[in-house]
Amino acid sequence: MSQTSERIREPSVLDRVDDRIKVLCVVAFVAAVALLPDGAWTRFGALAGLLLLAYLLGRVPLLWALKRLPLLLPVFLLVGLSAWISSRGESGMGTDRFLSVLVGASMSLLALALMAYNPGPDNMLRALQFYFRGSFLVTLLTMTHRYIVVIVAEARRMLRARDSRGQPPRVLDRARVAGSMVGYLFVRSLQRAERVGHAMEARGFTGVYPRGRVRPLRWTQLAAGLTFCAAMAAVVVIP
Amino acid sequence: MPVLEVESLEYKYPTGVSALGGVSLAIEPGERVALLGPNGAGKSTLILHLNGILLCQQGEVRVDGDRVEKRNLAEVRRKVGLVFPNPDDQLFMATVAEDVAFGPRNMGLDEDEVDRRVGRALEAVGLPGFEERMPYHLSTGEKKRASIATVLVMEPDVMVLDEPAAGLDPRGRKGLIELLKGLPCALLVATHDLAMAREVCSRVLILDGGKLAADGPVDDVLADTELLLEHGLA
Repeated sequence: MSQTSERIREPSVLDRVDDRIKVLCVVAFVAAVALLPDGAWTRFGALAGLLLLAYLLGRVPLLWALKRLPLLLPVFLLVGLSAWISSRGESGMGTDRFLSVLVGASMSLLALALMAYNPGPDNMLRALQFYFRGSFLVTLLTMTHRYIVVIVAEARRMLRARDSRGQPPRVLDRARVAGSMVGYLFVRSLQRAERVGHAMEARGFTGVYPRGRVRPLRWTQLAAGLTFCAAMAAVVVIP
Repeated sequence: MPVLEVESLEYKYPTGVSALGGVSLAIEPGERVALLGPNGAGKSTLILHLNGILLCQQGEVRVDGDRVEKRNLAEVRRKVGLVFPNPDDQLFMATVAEDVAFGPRNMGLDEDEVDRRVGRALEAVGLPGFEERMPYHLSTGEKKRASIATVLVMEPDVMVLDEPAAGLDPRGRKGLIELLKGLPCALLVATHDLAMAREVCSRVLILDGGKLAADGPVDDVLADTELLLEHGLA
């Protein structure tokens, strides 16, 4: 469970599963959803049912996850536009593709939201470090997760300072102020990155995160995870 | 033999502006030294040279008699620990325990030893039981203590602290002073807090304009009002 949000709840079935297996299963699920052919509605339905079951087993509030769906709006708009363009001349194909991408992207986002809730961002990053030790992307994600709070706090302080001096009356001026703030935040982030880099070097960092004690995966959990991955592959391959 | 020596150190920024103009100093094992100076005096630049974050352009830095060079940076960084002024720069891992363990793991210590050291360091700074806490959920005082633990855990011979009391309330500052007084290693404390310098250190260096302007016993230097005024410290 995410310690960031410090939610306190009773342990669920999902809590008994090793975080690394949960991450493996979510990655397999997202890959399967992405690889399903357009219009394979029965298989989309089966995977959606599986996702719903995971939400129920994990006692994850579905409404909490559904609130994240608007994040996909730009994707929907972009895909909708390209589907509309591709449908001209090939009747029906564009709509099918659009709906498949819409459903697939929504299911993938809901699967990721599930992972953000359980095991939570910190444990998820630890699991990713287990699979991809030293990976630039995982390091980047870890740092982003650590510093997003600091950057948001900085942005809030700047907004407060702006508001305390009143808002410029013209929209254009307000936009200019917003642009300056974004630029200033960027520069401050760069400066912070340099300072963090110094702090890491000062403690002997040479480019690869040191690996702590690695808890071995229980073979039953690993077998369950691999079976799930095989099932996902079967859903994609078997028509 | 001094544990840390700086000799005729000069440093120019890429813009050509001189930050340090021939600084020389030495710190003996276990000595507590305050580094005072106005903003822009070159204190942070000097500090970054002490464990090889910046390498010497002119002059040299020696740790335990060995010149600081690229080849021995790992050893230098074990012996000279830096605590940065903003704990949000120092604490970059997901939990306090992982942050404190970062240095020892980079040193290649085995996990049992890492665990032992992390426990000892957190105990020493008064944060036992904070292992699984997120750094960004700590108070400023706790963050400062955790920052010190991240360096203390490497069991350095010298700990260099840049503005350790910045942003602390009086209670946090008092706690920090007690903590610094109890540390087993030599200290170099860059600060504007003269009272803290008097309480923690026995010797004071004043750096201004990239040059050492004074070096002497804490009571003598801090009693010289004219000197302090001249360097923007009073």
